[in-house]
Amino acid sequence: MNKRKLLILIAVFALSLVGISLRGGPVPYVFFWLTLLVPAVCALYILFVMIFLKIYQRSDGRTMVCGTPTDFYITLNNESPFSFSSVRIKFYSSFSTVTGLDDGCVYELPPHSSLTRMTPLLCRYRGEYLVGIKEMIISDFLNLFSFRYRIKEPLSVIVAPANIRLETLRYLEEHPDADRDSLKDRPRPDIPVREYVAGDDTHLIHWKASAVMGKLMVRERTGTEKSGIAIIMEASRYSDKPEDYLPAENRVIESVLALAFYYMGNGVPVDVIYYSGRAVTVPVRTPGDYERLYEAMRGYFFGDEGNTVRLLDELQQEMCWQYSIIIPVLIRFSAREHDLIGRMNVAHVPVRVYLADDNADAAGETGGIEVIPVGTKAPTEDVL
Amino acid sequence: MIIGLIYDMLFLIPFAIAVSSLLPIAGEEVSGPVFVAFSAAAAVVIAVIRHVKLREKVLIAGTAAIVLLAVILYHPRAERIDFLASHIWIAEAALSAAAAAIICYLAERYRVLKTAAALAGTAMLIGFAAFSVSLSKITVCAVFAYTLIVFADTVQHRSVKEGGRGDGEHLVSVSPFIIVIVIASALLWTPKKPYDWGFVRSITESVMGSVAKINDRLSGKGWDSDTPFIGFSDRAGFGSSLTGIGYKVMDIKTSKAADPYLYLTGRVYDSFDGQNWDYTREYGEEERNLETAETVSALVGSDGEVSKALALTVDLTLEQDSYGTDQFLPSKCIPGTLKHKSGTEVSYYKLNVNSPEFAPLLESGHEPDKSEWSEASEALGISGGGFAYEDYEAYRDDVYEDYLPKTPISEKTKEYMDGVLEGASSDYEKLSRIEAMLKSFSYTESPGTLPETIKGSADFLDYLIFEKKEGYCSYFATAFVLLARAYDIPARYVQGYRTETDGKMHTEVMSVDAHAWPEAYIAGIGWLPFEPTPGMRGIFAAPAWKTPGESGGSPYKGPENIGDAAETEGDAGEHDAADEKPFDWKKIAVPVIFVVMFALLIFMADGILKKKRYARMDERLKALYLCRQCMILLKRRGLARGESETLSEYVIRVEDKVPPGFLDFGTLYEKILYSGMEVSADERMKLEENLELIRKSGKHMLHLRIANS
Repeated sequence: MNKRKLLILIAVFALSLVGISLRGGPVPYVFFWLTLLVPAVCALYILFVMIFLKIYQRSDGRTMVCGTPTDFYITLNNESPFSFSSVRIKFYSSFSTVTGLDDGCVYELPPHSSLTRMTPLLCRYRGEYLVGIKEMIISDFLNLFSFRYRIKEPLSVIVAPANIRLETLRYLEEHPDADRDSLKDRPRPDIPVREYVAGDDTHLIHWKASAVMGKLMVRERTGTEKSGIAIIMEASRYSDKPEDYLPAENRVIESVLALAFYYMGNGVPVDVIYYSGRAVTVPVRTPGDYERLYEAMRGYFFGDEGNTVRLLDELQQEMCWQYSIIIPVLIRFSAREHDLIGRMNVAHVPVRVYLADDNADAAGETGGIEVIPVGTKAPTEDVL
Repeated sequence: MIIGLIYDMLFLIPFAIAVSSLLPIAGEEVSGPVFVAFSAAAAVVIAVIRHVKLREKVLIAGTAAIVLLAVILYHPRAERIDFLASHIWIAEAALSAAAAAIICYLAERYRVLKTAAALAGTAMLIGFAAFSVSLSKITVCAVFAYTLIVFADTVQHRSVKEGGRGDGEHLVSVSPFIIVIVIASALLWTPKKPYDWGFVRSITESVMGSVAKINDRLSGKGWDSDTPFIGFSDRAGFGSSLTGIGYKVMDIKTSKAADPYLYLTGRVYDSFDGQNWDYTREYGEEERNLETAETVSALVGSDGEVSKALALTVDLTLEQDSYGTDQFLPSKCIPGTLKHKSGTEVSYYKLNVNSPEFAPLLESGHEPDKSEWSEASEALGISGGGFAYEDYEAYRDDVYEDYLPKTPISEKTKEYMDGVLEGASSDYEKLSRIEAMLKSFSYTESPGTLPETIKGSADFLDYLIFEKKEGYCSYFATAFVLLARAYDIPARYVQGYRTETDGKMHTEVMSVDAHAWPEAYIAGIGWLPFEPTPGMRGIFAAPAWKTPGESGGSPYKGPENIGDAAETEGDAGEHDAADEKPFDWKKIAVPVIFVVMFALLIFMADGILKKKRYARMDERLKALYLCRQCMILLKRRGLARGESETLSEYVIRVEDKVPPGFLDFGTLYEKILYSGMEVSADERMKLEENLELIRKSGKHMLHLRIANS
C-alpha cells in the first residue's frame, strides 16, 4: 500500500473518530464503522484471492539454451464466484527475460474464468536457476491495498550454454606464431625432454631446453605429433551471488566452446583442459568431439576458489612443449595464476589469457603473457 | 441480461431508499420502513422492466395496472376517493423510485453525474450531522452504500486491465463484499450521544491516579500535607489552586439507596484566624452520638420509633483504599453500630429533609425536653453512660460556646447581608439565604493565593463577597460559617468527602471528591450540612422520598377482580365472533383471472406480431432467424456454444449428445453468416423442419443426456 493511500486512510479514520467524539447519531457512527470495515473487508478479499487464485506456468521442455527464446506459458485460473479485480505478475529478470508480457500489465479474472498467455522466454546465462513468475501483486476491488507474495512453486530450468560460431578470431593476426597455417603445416619441436644422464647421445641434447632449464636436457622422443592449441578453462567460482558468478561462468564456457569450435572447424588441433577433481583434457578434432565437450560443459559445475590453482598446478611443464599456444580462459588472473602459468610455460610458447572480468584493465601483456579482457557484458562473438 | 439488471439495481436500490427515506410520507400513516421497502420494491420493478423485452414490459405494466384497478374497484364508489387519499403514499413511493431511476440512468450515461450524486449525498450527510439534524439510519446507510458502489465502479472504470468482461460484471461479482460492509455497518451500534471514551478516560485516570499516589507517597504529601488540595491537614489552609488528578480512595456499599449527595465527615474545625482553620476540641464518637441523639429526638414519633417519613436507617460499609488513618463517617451515625471488620461498618440515618413533614422541624427550633430525650435514647437503644439529659444540656452549651465565637464583620458586609436576610423568620431560612447568596458566585479551582492582609473573618468576608467573588469549596464553606456565626447561628467548618451516589448502593469515592462544607446547628434538629459551593448540590437538593403506602399506585387486582376481567374478555369474544365475516375470495380470483387473460392476450399478440414480421422477411433473414432460434433452443437444453467456439467446432462437440438431424442447420448457418450466400425456399423450409424437430425433442433430449452421462 503506498504512503499516500495510507495517509488518506489514517486521516479518514481520524476524522471518523472526531465525528463520533463530537456528534452522536447514525451519520458519524456509520461512517466510523465503514472506515473500520472497508479496509478489513478489502484485506479479507485479498486473502480470498490469494487462496483461490491458481497459477500454472510451464516452458516447452525443461532444458533451454542460453540466448535462444523458448515458448513459455502462464495460466491464471479463477474458480471462485467472485471477480479477481487486479492481479499483476512480476517475472524473474536477473537472468532471464520475458519479452511478450509486460510486468506492469494488470489482469482481471472474472468469476469461473482462466487466462492463458504465451510468451518467449530468453535465458541470458547457462546454469540452473529460477525463471518465469517470481511474485504476484494482488489488489482489492477498491484499489486500497496491494499485497505482494512469492509463488510457492517457481519454475526452475537448466540452461545449456550457447553455441557461438565465430567467423574470425579477433586476436589471431597479432601473433604470427599463432596463425593457423603455421600451426597446421610446420613440424613441431620434439618434446618431452628429460635431464641428461651420462651415456645419453649428445645428438639428442635439446639446447634450447637446456638453456632454459640451466642444465643439459635431452629429447625423449622424436617426431611425435602435437596439438596446436590448449584451452585451459577456469575452474573456480568466486562469489556466492548468482548475479556475480553466472555471467562470468557463462562467458568462460561460451568462450571455451566458441574457441574450440572455431579451431576444430578450421582444422587446428585443439585440446580443452578443465578441472573435474583432476585435470581433464578433451581433444576436439571432430564435430563428435565437440558434442562431447558441449555435453560436458552443459553440466559443468565450477568448484571452490582453489580449483583453478589446483588445475594449473597439476598441469605439468611438459604440457607446454605439446602446444604452440596456450589459451587460459579465466575469471580471475592474479599474480598467483600468473606465476603458475609462467612456471608451466617453460617452453615459452605464446599464452593468451581471456579474462571474463568486467573490472579488468584494457588488453596488455605482462611477463610475456597476453591478457585480453572479454568481460561479461558484450556478446561473446564481439569480444572474441 | 441478469448481469445488467443486477448492475442497475446496485445503484438504483440504495438511491431509491435514500430518496424515499428523506421524503415525508403522505396520506395514511404507514411506517417508514414499509414506505422505504415499497419504494425499493418499485425500484426493482423499474429495473426489471428496463431489461426485459417489450412483451415482458407490457406484461408487467399491465399486471400492475390490473391489480391496482381491481383494488380500487372493489371499494364502494363513495369510499374510493378516501381510499386513494389514504394510500397516496404508494404513488409517492413509486414516484420517488421512478425519480431515482431517472437519475441513475442519466448517471449511467454521464458518468460524472454518478460521482456528483455520491458527493452530494455525502455532503448532505455531513451537513445534517454538523447541524445535528436527525436522520434515520437507513438513509445514512443507503447514501454510504451508494457512495461505496460508485467508488468501486469508478475505480474499476479508470483501471486499465486485461481479461475483464466489463465494468458491470466486475461490480456485480464483487458486490457481495460491498453489501457485507454496508449491512455490517447498518447492524452495528449507533448511539445518539457522542462517544464518551469512557474506557480511555478510565484507563487514563487510573494511570494518572497511580502516578499521583506514588508521587504523594514519595514526596511525603498526603492526608497530613498542607497542600491546597482541599487540605487534610492539621491546619486547613487556602492554596492558590487545587490539584485535580484523582485516584480511588474508598469504596462505599450501602444496604439501600444512599443519599444522592453523601457527606463523609473527616475533621471538624471551629476557629478561623483569617488564613487557616483550626480545631480546639476533639470531635469524636461521644459528640457524634449526642448529635445523632439530638436529631433523633425530633424524629421520634408517637410510637417511639423514628418516623420513616423523616429518616431511614442505612447500613454503610466503607473500605478505604488508601493509607489514611482518618475515619470518614456520614453524619447521624447510629450509636453502637460502628464496627471495624474488613472495612468500616456503620448504620446512619438518612434524613428526608425536603419532605413536607420535615419542614416544620427546621423552622420550629424546638429543643427536646427530658422526656423527648428519653424517647430518643430508647429509640436508639441507648441510655445512661453519657446519654443522660444532663449530658445533652452540657453538649448543647458547648456547641454554643465553641461554634459560636464572636465573629466580627464589616459594616459593608453587615449592610449587604441585612439586605439578603431581610424578612427571614427562622435560622433555617437565614441559612438557606446565605447558601443561595454564596452559590451565586463563581467556582474556580485556581483563585490565587489568599492575600496576607486578610487577618480575620471580616477581612475574609469583604474580600470574598465584594472583591474576589469566586473560589473553591473552602472559600464558600468558610464564608458560610462566618456569616452564620455573625447572625448568631452556631456553625462549623468540616472537611471530608462528598460523593454523588446517584442513589446507587455501591459508590467509589475518588480523591477529587475531597471537599469542605459548612454545618450549622439548628436548635432541636442539631447539625445539618449545607452546600454553598457554586455548582454543587447538598442534602437540601435531594428529592424527598415517599414512605410505602403513600405511593398512590394502582390498587391490587385481587381474586375478586378476576371474574370481572373474565367477564369482560368473554364479552369481547362474543363481540368478535359476531363481527367475523367469511373471506371474499373474489377479491383475489378476479384480478388473477384478468391478469392471466391479459398475459395470454399479450403472448398471443406477440405471437401474431412475430409471425407477421417473419412473413415480411426475405429468405435469408428468415434462415438467419431460424438458425438463431435453433441455437437458443439448444442453449436452453444446456448445449450452449462456447465464447470463442466456431460453429464447426460446436457441431463436432455436440453432435454425439443430440439426436440425428438436430444440427443439420449448422453448416448452412455458417455459410449464411460468413459467406453471405443467398438462401432458397427449400433450404429455408428444411431449417423450419430442423427447428420444429428441436422444439419437439424436449424429453427425448433429456433421455439422451442421461444415457450419455
